Amino acid sequence: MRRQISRIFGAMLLTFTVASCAEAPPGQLISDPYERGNRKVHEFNKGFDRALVGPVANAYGKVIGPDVDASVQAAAETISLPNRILNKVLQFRLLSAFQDTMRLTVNLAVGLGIKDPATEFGIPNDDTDFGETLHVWGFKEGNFIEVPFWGASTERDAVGLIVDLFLLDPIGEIEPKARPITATVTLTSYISNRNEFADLVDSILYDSEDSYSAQQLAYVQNRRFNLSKSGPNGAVVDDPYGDDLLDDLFDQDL
Amino acid sequence: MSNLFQITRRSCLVLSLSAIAMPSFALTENSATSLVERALSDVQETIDSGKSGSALYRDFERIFDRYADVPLVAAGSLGIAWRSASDGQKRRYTDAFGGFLSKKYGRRFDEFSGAKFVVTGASETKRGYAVATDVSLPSGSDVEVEWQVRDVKGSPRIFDIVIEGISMLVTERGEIGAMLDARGGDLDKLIADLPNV
Repeated sequence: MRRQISRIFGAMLLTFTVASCAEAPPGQLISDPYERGNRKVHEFNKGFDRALVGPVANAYGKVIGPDVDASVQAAAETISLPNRILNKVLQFRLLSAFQDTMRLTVNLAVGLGIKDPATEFGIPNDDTDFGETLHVWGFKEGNFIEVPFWGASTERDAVGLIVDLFLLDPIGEIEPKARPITATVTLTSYISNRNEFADLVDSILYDSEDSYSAQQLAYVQNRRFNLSKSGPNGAVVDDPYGDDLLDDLFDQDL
Repeated sequence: MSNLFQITRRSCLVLSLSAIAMPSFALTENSATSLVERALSDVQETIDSGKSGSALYRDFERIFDRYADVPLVAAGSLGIAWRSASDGQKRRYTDAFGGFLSKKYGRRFDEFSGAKFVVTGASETKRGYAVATDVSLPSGSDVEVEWQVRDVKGSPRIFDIVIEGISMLVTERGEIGAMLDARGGDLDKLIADLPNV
């Protein structure tokens, strides 16, 4: 545990160093100095989706019925809940941490971990991650990064992703043998998501002339929107029309 | 004489009253909300009509023309290139862009079939009003959609739709900007290509 803490501390330091000096140029949503490399990774990710993830998700949607799919989603959530609760405690969102503890208890006791009766009981499902924890602690998002096999991210959120995957894994910590099972369920739920949001993903990746820019815009706006709701540090999303290009259009007679 | 004086006084009163009443013709929370509600019911009607393909896109384009601040959305999507465009280019671009947008979003609108829109509130912004709606999809998920409304020469117009934080205006500016870059900044080529995207 002590090693874990010092590693998380190291990750925070890394975020602070890399993410503190990024400033988006005017007219651009996010600072992207690694664009050339990011675009290469994006082409790789797109190829990976076209060759493997997309077709597998498509097949999953055809073979797996809605009941089994709901169980996959519920099981993946059960597995993610201990991490989520820890993150919410770290974000000082104690009420939300308590709600998640109730969700875990109810879904395990009544739903055996593969059903979601908690939602029917009105306990909200509100996801989080260590990237959000870093946000609540005041870390800036940093530069845009495209993570291999994962997709759009920022320097801060990529550090968060690594912490969530390897350092904040209470189940794996208690029972290392459970790791292959939890990893399989989590990966299956990603396939399920890819299938559920197929139209949206396809339109961004394959209908846009510049899918790199399209997914960057969608990711950054949506991420900021979600983070604006959390934590004592959560400010409202800035007026997105405030940059010099759009701003004076509002006052012109067009 | 006194009669005339009376009349003049009355008309003065009427005049000043109408001056006080003038702001009610400008944008209010109610007029913004009712505009969004009317737009939504038109969209709902179009989705329920069972039309598809170009007939559906034409209907969407009509709704877009009726409720949206078309010149601002077009100018905003083109960004810096709008400033240097000629009047003719601006007009042709605005036409082509309306068609492009209706097709792009019309294609995706069947994802919203069976969805229920509920207006959850409205708040004043720097530009006008933001009308918040909650969309429950048949799959059980909820989506937050915000409609940005502003006053254009005395009538309310929608100038942006923000879905889960993703602004259509900001997104299309990125998309159009990338398309223009890919054509070496040639606006005429972009206008010619837009109907075929």
